[in-house]
Amino acid sequence: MRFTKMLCILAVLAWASFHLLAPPVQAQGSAAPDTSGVKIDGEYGPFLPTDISEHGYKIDRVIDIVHVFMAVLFVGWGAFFVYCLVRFRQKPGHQADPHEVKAKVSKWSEIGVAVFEAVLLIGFSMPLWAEVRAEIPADDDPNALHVKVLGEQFAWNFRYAGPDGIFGRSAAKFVKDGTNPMGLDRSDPHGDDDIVSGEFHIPTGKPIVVQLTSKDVIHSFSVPVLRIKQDTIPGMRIPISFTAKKSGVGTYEVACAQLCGNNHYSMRALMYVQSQNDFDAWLIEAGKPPEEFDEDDLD
Amino acid sequence: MSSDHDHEMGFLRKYVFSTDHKVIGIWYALTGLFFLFFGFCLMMIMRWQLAFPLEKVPVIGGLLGSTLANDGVLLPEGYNALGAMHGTIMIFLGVVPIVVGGFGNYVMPLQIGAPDMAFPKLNMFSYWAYFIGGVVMLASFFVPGGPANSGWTSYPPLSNIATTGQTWWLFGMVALITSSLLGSINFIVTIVQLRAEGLTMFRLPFFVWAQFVTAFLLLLAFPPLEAASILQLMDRLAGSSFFMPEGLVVSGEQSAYTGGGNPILWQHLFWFLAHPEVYVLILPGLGMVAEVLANNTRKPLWGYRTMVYALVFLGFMSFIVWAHHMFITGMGVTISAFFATTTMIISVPSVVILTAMIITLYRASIRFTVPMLFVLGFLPMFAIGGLTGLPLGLPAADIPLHDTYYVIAHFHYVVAPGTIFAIFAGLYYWFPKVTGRMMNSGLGKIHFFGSFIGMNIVFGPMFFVGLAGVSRRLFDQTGYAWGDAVQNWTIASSYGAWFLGLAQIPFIINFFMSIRGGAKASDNPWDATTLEWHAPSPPPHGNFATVPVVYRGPYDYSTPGAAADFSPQHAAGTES
Amino acid sequence: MRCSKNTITVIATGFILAIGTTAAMAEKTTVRGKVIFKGNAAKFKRTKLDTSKDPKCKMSKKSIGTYDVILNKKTDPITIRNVLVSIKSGLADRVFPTPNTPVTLTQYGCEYDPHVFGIMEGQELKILNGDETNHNIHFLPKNNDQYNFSQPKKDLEKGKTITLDAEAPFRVKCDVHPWMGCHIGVFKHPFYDVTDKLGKFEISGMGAGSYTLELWHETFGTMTADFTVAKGQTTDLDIEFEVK
Repeated sequence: MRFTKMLCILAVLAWASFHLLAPPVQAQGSAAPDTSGVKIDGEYGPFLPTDISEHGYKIDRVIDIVHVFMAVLFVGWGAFFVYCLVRFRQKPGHQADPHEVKAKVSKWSEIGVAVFEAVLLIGFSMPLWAEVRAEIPADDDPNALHVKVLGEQFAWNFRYAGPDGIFGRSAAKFVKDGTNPMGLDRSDPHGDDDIVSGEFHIPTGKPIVVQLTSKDVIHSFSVPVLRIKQDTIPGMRIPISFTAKKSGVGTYEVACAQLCGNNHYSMRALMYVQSQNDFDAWLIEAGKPPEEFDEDDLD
Repeated sequence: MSSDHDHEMGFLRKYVFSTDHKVIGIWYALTGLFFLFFGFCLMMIMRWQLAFPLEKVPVIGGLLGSTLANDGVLLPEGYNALGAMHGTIMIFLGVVPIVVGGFGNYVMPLQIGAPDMAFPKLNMFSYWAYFIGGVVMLASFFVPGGPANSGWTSYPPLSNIATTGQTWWLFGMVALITSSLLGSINFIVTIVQLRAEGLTMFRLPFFVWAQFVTAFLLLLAFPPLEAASILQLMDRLAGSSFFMPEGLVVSGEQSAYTGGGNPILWQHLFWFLAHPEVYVLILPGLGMVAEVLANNTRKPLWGYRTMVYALVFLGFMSFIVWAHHMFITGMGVTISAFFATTTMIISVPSVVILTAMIITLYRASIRFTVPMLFVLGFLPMFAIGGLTGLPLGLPAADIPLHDTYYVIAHFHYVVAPGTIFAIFAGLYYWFPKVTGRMMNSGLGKIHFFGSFIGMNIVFGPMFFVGLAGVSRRLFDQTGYAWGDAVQNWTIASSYGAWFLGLAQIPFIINFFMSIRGGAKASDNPWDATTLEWHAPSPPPHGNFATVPVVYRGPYDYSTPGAAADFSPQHAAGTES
Repeated sequence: MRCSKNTITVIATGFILAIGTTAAMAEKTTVRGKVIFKGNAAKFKRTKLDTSKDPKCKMSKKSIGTYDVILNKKTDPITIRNVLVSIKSGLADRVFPTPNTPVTLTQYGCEYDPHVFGIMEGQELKILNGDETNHNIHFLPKNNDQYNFSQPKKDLEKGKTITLDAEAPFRVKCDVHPWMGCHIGVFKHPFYDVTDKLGKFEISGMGAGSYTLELWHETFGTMTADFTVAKGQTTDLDIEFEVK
């Protein structure tokens, strides 16, 4: 019996240390493994990954505060739990006291929890959410870069307005796999210079507005390093906005976070965060008509 | 209802197509346990793929067939199918049938001193509807394209364009929902109408209260999903477009759907069920925990009335938090503020109930019996599950965590080491009542410690995998830098899952051996107070020899001046 | 046990093949020719496809081109590649044995090889993955099963084998690499061919008689051409495919 009790206590302690102390496996540093032929920048490990967005630190701060709060509650509560298990175990001659304990502590701790949650919600989460969700530059805001993102099974398509800064028309009937994945109407003069790419290129230090929609099923546009995630829903156009930090130049990954079919896990795109100059150069390069393909050159 | 012609009933009427709530309860529990085990096996296969991507599944790889796997290597479509079926089976075919159909059916009428459920035939029908739903779900593994593979949430348009398995899934769901609806009406009427004399609402054991609130949740939350399932069936079979917007291009071809529907509508209908469903999973578990806790602390539950109020409030609130599953569907600021607020509010009654349970330990005389060990495992695990819901309920903090392993870890802490530990506690606790024999406590302890350690190795690392940014439902996370960096943690999780599987072996042995070979149990082996222990073990058809009269509250333990440290509810004497 | 069974199958197959070949030799009839492009060839340029979505594609092939129209511009006159030429009528109700050799479809460099091909009803189609990446093959036929399965790793040996029922050419695509597409025509007879780099096709063994050929192209559509072939003869047939 005594052995069982010891085991029980040990298990609880082991559990607590497992969860609350520093995990043994540390972030693997910047040497993220080369899994696709392209080196991915950033530090990844068992905590939140690198943050290259200007709003990300606020989200991280809320997450940190909540976790400290959870840890405090759990440790306090767990200490009382373990104390009770040891102190009030059944022994000969010992009987339980059926009188209701007047537990002021519990009442106050419950009120404390409620107040703290209210503070978290009203003080941190709501303003931040409002900032992330509502403060999105308008469609004609020249200071922001607008990108249309179209999800499909199982790829992301990115569309830039080109030199004229205006997106051309597009419709489902124009969609052609391979050559016109976003269904651009090439007869529209505004659409002539639109750039469609399978890579996500963005400049640093400039507000980016991403307008998300989907061709077929629900996807979710997830970029962990930018602290953004937004479902893309067919039939809806949902804008989100963010700014990449100047120091965030590098290559990262875009993933799909909503089950979208067999190869959901292959729905990965590369994101190139570039200085404004590099980005402009890329735009010019990508805006050129596609190169002629001559298979004899390959032999 | 009289037991005169008991002996004239044939074998089938007595043991299979029985209207006796106890036989139905046993069937529910056994079928549910089978599905629980089956669903767990699906997960163990998935864990192999996650830990060792694209390697041949050992031992059973060959059995996976050519739809789900190729040459024993699980395919992405197979992974998705197993994932969808794991969720569906665990929730709708495993846990709910066990806690509501099994324990609710068997224990609740006994605890209120009733001879049977109010509508015994309806009760039998709801079991068979459940059984049919289960058979349909199992059969869907053998249809072309395999079973449903759009996740247990079945979001359209994906589910609308999915393989035939999805149609079977929907038919299965309609059967299961029908079963739950019939059951819930039966539970409500039984609890309202058939309580023994003297058993007022505030003398009801907490378990009965939990079943009562759960029945209301089932009754009110399931109809929207039944409607939604039928709408989706129409979309799939009759070419309607309830959930399909116009202008879809699937695999490069324009979709034939006329459009005009909205995929978000499904999510609202689904989560309007599925959030209360979370409480359907946990409330009966809390009820069982309360029973075992009071019995093994040898003192009344602390703040019984507060707990009941909290329970009712929890049930009510669970109907107005559903959209916190949908923060990133493009929800506006105002509406998300509402749902975030209700979500924070609903955490308060949960904290109240949990705190009351912890304080019950104070100045107790704790017996470390096997059911009690599971309860003591349940309490901190459930706390973890509850606490980690906080960052997910705050829309801003939800952004990086939404749809990652963090969410998986969170709700599994609530239902796996949470509800499933409660189920084990209940099984060990009421086993002597059902069979007349005790389960072996040595094997029980091995089972508990194995499960406790296993559960934490499975789900603990998932928090870190989730924080790292790994989305759920990924067939292979190593293709992403953030996934590859925490692959070791995923491997640890997988070893945990297989260890957890091993830890169930002592339970399975114990369960089957004890049915015939366990030590004989008295009518009241745990020295408990509630009415089910007044009936013989096992109780005969009709339950009680004499209709019991109740004189006191449910947990009259250690009353000063009483003859023993417990005073049964039916024992006359000083009323409390 | 198993081994001996296989041996018997092999011997039997050899036997049948031998008889079949002799029979065909007896009345060797052939139709051959090329499909000539008639229209404005400058309109159809082959460009490079954007495969940046999956960098692993480039590990197999540096670049791949569009495939919806491939003109053999170096031939004179200009011919069309990837035209599926098959006998449409004239065979009456004759029944032909299904070949025992499978047709192989390989995914390499995130491209299908071959891009257009015919197969006989019931003949085995073996699908292989030559890339270090995940492919998902999705059939979009009207009558056949809409096969939709993944090949998540490189596999040039076993692959996945399926059979199909007769159907007009339909599209097959990869859902992971949306630009990847190919077309399969399934026939009840073995008399079909796909025009090559020189725009040539050759079909033989149909026996003496008058027949109608059907030419199918994924972008240009279909046209028909009649021909007659005598016993032991070869008919040359250059067909002009008019493109507006």
